[in-house]
Amino acid sequence: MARVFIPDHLASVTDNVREVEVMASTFRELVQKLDERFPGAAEAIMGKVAVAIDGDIIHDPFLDPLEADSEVHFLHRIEGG
Amino acid sequence: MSRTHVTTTVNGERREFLCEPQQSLLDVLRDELQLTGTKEGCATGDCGACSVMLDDRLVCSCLVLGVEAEAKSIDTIEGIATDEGLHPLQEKFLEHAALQCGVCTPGFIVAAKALLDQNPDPDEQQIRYWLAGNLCRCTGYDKIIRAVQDAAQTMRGEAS
Amino acid sequence: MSEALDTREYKVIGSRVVRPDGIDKVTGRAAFGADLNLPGMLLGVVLRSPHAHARIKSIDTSKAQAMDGVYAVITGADFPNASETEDPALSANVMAREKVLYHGHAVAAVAATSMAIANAAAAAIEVDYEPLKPVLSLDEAMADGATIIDEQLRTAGADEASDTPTNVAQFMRLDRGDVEQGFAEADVIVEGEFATPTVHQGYIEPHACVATINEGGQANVWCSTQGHFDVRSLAAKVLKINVADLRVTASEIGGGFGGKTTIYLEPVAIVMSGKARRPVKMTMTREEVFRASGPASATKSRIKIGAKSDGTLTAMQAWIGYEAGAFPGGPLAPGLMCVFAPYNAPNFLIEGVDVLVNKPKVAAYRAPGAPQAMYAGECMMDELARKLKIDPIDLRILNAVEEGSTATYGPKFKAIGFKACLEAAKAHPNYTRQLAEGEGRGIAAGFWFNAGMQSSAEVHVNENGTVTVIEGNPDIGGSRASMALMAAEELGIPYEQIRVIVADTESAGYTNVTGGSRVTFATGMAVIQASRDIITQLKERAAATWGIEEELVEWEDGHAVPKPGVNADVQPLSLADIAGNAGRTGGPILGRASLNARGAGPGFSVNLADVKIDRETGKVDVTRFTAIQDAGKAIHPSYVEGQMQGGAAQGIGWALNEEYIYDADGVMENAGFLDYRVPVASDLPMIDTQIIEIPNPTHPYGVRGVGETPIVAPLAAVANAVRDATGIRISELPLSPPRVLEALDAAEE
Ligand code: FES
Ligand code: FES
Repeated sequence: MARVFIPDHLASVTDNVREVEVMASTFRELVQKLDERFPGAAEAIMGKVAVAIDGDIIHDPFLDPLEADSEVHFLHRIEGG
Repeated sequence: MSRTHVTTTVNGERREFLCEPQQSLLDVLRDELQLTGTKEGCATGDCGACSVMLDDRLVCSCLVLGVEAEAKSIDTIEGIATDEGLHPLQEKFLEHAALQCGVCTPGFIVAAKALLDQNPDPDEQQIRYWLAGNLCRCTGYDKIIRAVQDAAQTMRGEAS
Repeated sequence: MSEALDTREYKVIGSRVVRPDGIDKVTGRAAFGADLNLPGMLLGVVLRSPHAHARIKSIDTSKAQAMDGVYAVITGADFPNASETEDPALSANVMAREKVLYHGHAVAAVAATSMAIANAAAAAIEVDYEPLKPVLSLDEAMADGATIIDEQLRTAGADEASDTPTNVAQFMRLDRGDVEQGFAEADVIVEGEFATPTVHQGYIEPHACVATINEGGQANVWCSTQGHFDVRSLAAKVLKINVADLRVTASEIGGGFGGKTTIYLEPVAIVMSGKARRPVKMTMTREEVFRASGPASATKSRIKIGAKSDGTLTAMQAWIGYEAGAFPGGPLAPGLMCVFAPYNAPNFLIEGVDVLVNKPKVAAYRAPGAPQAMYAGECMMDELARKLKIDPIDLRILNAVEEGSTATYGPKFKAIGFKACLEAAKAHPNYTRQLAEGEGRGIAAGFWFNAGMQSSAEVHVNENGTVTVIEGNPDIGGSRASMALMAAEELGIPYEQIRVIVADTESAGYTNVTGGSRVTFATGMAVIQASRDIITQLKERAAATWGIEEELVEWEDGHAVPKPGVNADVQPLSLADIAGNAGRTGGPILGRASLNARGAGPGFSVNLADVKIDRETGKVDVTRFTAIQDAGKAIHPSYVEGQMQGGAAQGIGWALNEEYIYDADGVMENAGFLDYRVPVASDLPMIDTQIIEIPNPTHPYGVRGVGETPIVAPLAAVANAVRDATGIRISELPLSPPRVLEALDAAEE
């Protein structure tokens, strides 16, 4: 199960749950499952935030694969100058 | 607006142009003579991107009027390489990666050439003060100073 | 897309070759934004607001329209309604509608046959304003009863949703553990408040573009930008036109540092070109660049750090407010994510706000948000070291993040070079060199995430075996050389046989902006993959030529050869051999790759600054500066050093001199290089560099971005050196002569 860490700015969507475990093989599936548990999560996440999967920051996550023990962190999008 | 007829020498060639009274030499070079190698960074004499030689004197062409070029001789970045190839300053700027974006480079090369033409062996301090009128926002000047030192050495005929 | 790390010996990577576009740049041939002239071209100027905050009651353009030589006069009414576009703030920033929100905000524009006529016509436009009270600082903007800049604005991310109008665009928090508990466990606590001013990227080339649009609505734009694909999408949003109708060509770019990642003039020139049915060129004056492009946020911050007496951190707390300018969008998130990123803190609470003020809409500036945040954080780390009487590098080593540490912003770090940079700093001769009387030394750390994102590359093999690489990132600092080096390394051919073209939006595959320190990392990865695509094809062609199976061929040193042990009586085929025969083996050879690069490697740096202070004038001179940074792998070391030196110079300018000075009406008083003083050659020493190479495991050569990290540490390094030299902590930048003198005088009293 992937460990998913919810940052402060998404905590209102998850009723202040800050860490959840989700069985998913891709980022898309993970968001679907989060949304089933916390309606509105997909809306708040997809296309709006970046993610770090096992330390790799991904700007537009979607099809990215997850391992059974992946760690997933949602982040604000960073572009830079 | 009446335009003034000006005859001048640019990079050794006789050139004529018509210019408005308030037009700067920089605008004339860029817009009338299509010599766009001389750059505008400020138009107020503060950045040196527009450096050219006017009768062998280093000037900011944005501070000179086009009409002042009458009967004078102007040398720009376009005239620095010769049939023999690049000037040592141009070579050394490339070798030392003394340019990043390159927009300040024409001004620096013109200004540095003016320095080396009168002082073939300047020390770091002299180079820094001479080039203090040329802004570079990319390089932090380090590699520019080294390129000028190295070019000076080459021009003095010493191996670098 | 990420790649396994390759640990081979490199043939050309890491060598200091001359850039392929170099000769044109030292001879004046290279064409920058303002260097294009088209037949029949008009010149455009913008009329800008004389007020920092006002309602536009009416605009009368009739006198301007009537002037000889004037071909177009436009106002906000000539653009699609801002609120109906996908990016209302951008749209309203490009051209004001009901209100002007900063001094210099565009209100109208003119295209005419000469600058003199265009300026005269702009002056003849009559605008009736109702001036409003300007909001000019964070404190003013957040005060009770503050003038509201945008009645519709509500605070995003606030704990309690509120329907009260506000100037606070966003609230954000990062936290872990229990910060109160952490402070309770501390033996020592340091606290401080800091402020930094509005500063500008200060690129030497002002914004410039040339636009044409035909009767069918198809437009061509030539402009100085860090990302022509972004110009295309942003201009299409503002004008509500189809991206397919907009072709954007990036000129050579005379610096950007983040400031050329957005648009100002381009939509204005397109609209005027449509009206005039002629090409329109627009260039900003330097004054306009200062007043009306996007500077970097001014900030205020509070930092509190607690530690055990051995230096182990127990709690870190920060509050940072960023001025966004007239529209939301200051670099709040990256700033908060950076402030304590180099350290392991069991408990932290990092909060901040993005706040509207009547100043230009801020834009990215090299590691946006990080220099301001880490200036404050690193000054307090210095104070902590002083209080604990621990060497400031040792204090950092003790608490430094390393592979496996959890970043304050969430994920665990992979291989990173922070400790390696700290250790290099400790061992550097400049750290132990004896200081002269009156000198001081400061150290500080820097951090930036670096970005990945989308890139494309094509590799074309020419008939003689030379190669053209086509990509879409404007070359702002030698990236063509890096791309050619990577293609040469992969293909095994000499660097000189490769040309790199930065193609326009219709000729290159989609590519994100030259920013986020992403080009060598992400576009480089695309070039490597496209080169590998070529190699696969070259092996197929060789196999076909030899009449053997493809699997039996390998690519070695620029040649197809049979694999060891394969019994084939053939001569190796060079790239030129295969290219010359391409017509017979299947036609031209093209390779391509497109990707969304994940796993950009975070960049860490450590800077050492020595300063000397003139007691009479308060002037601070940097006498020695050392920049140490983890580049992952330096593809072209000279350009990596150049980034480190240039970032150091900008950071020193930010620390010592640069600031927007406003009068009480919100008018910038120093909108020129004479009074907005960026460092000149005589202000700076040589800048010593040391490149650390801890490979980024997600790039085939280990590349991390390098362009932004260098500007992060110098602010605190210089401030800590001034603290060291004077014994006084001055907590507001810049450390300009009057401010330093005042502090010295106050201390003596
Ligand atoms: S353009 Fe002449 S000095 Fe800047
Ligand atoms: S190289 Fe960009 S300004 Fe000097």
